[in-house]
Amino acid sequence: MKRPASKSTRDKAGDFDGPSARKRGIVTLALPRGRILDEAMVLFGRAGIDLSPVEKAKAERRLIVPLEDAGMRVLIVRDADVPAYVEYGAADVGIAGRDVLEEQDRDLYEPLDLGIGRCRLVVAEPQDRPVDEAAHIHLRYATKFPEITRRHLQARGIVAEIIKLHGSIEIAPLVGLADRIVDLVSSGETLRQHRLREVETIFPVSARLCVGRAAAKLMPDRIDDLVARLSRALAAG
Amino acid sequence: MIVPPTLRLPAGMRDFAPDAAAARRGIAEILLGVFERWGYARVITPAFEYEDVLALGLGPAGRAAAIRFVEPSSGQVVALPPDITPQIARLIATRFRDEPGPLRLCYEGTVVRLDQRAHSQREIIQAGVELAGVAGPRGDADVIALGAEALAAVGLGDATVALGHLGLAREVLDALGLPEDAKILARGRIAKRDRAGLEEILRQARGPKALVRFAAELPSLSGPPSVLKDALARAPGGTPGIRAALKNLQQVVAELSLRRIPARLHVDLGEVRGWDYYTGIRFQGYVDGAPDAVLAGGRYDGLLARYGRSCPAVGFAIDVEATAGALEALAPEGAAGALATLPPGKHGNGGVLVIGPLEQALAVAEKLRKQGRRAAVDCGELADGQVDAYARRWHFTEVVRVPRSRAANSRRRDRVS
Repeated sequence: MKRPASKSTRDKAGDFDGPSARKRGIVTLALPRGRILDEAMVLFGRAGIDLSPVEKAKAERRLIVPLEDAGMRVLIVRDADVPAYVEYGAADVGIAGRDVLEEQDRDLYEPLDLGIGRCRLVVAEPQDRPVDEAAHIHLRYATKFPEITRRHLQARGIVAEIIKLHGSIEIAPLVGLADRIVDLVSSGETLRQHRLREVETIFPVSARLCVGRAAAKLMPDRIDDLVARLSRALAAG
Repeated sequence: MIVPPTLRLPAGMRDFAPDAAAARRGIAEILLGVFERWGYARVITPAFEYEDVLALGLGPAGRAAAIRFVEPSSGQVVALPPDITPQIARLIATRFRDEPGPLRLCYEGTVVRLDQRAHSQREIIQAGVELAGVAGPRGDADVIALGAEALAAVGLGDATVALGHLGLAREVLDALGLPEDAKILARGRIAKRDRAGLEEILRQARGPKALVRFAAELPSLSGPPSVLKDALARAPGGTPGIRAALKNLQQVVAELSLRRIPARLHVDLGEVRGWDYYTGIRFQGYVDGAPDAVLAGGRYDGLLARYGRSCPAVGFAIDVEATAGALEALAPEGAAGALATLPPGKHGNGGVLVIGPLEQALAVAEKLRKQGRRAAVDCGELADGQVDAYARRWHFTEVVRVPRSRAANSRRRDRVS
């Protein structure tokens, strides 16, 4: 994504600031910290977009990072906040896990599964205290994903209380807070450590590119180009 | 801060302070002015209606968005309209039943929508038009051109109009022979422009291969109007409905090119969302500064028949609040003039604050008002030192002090800096 060569990056640094960078043809990308960011770095590199300034900015604790060569800027945010940035147009595109996107069910386009940040969203319970769904009258599920859990239980016809937690989900069944949990699992090691076993997978998770409705209409060429580059990089990888 | 429970507002409801109210009123007045100049006559619809009457037009999703309650006097269920178009359809089918048409009507009003996801409701001020009795692309183009013109009139001349066709995805999905639940899932994936997810669902499709391939393209078929030619080339044979929808869009584009509208055209064949009553073309207006469409409309040739009068129709509504938001977002970057001209009375026709003995002050104010100025008479509340600050706060650009003496000519006029 080359910007017009006549623009000196130093002079135009201000272009990358402010709420309406889009007007100047700059694509704003919301990226979550952590594992997705590391894997996105590799994928974007293969697509010809150098995200290394993001690495440097992270060390300096800067959260808005211009990518002058690519005509983009990156916002480094919490993973669960990515969809809000994109829905409200503060970012034009973002990368978020399927878990986050389905939990929030926001009005976004999701043109590409990036295949990064892979894991599974599962239901788990203590190995030594399996739940008998038919016999229980009052089940409690602890999770970071109450909406997905509610929909899942509704589809199964299970009536249960859902307790929203923000972390350390796996201890909830061990201390009597919940009968089951709904949580992300990659290797399954954490579950085993806490003597939990998987009951079922709700869905496999990977990170997706999400695009705001207005961005898709107002800068279609830039967005289409980004999607095309990333899909080529995915196909080649 | 603790707000006493007796003074709270329900979620999603809000007041507009004078400046915000003036901006919104200014926008609505400009929009209605444009509509009326294009020959649309203004109507006002009621605040609530019988739910079953509204439901004829709304369909299941629209019904779910409506706040319903029981009318105490009759015990009947009534609803606040989440959309004004069904009300206009009812009006046309009843009051104007024998009017041969075409009918050009416009409105400004408030709709309330429940947002299940946000566990809240939203109050939306809309200004819109309905053109009934004109079928086909010429009517579509006329209304789209008016929409672009209206946006330009409020200072959003750099809009993008996205064109889609609800009949297209419907035809494709119906021809695929998918089970009903797969159809709903497929529609959801198209709405998300999720190509891979759609392909997954299309594996259970029984239709011809060419059709399945075309269906898989739907999320990606967007771009400049030339996309339509591309889509026609890919459209499989033996699917007259699909070709008709694409040709319909091409005709609209051709009609629009005769009209030189102040907006860019973008074609988006993956557009599957919208009110249940839409039958054909669907369009939205996007502008910088607004995260979603500020204008939305489409053709609904079957809606009036639900109210007993078979008649083609097309229309749109502009979200006044989203429009004000976009203008505010753009203001610091040079479009400030657009918003600044909006609040009537605040700028230009600056107000006058008249101070002095009541009788003379009233006479001065009356004279000013006859000249078309905005004038308020101080009722003796303001101490001398407070006058200027008060005048600035409420946008009075001039203070007239009528002296106690009878010499009317000696009154002082001070500009407020």
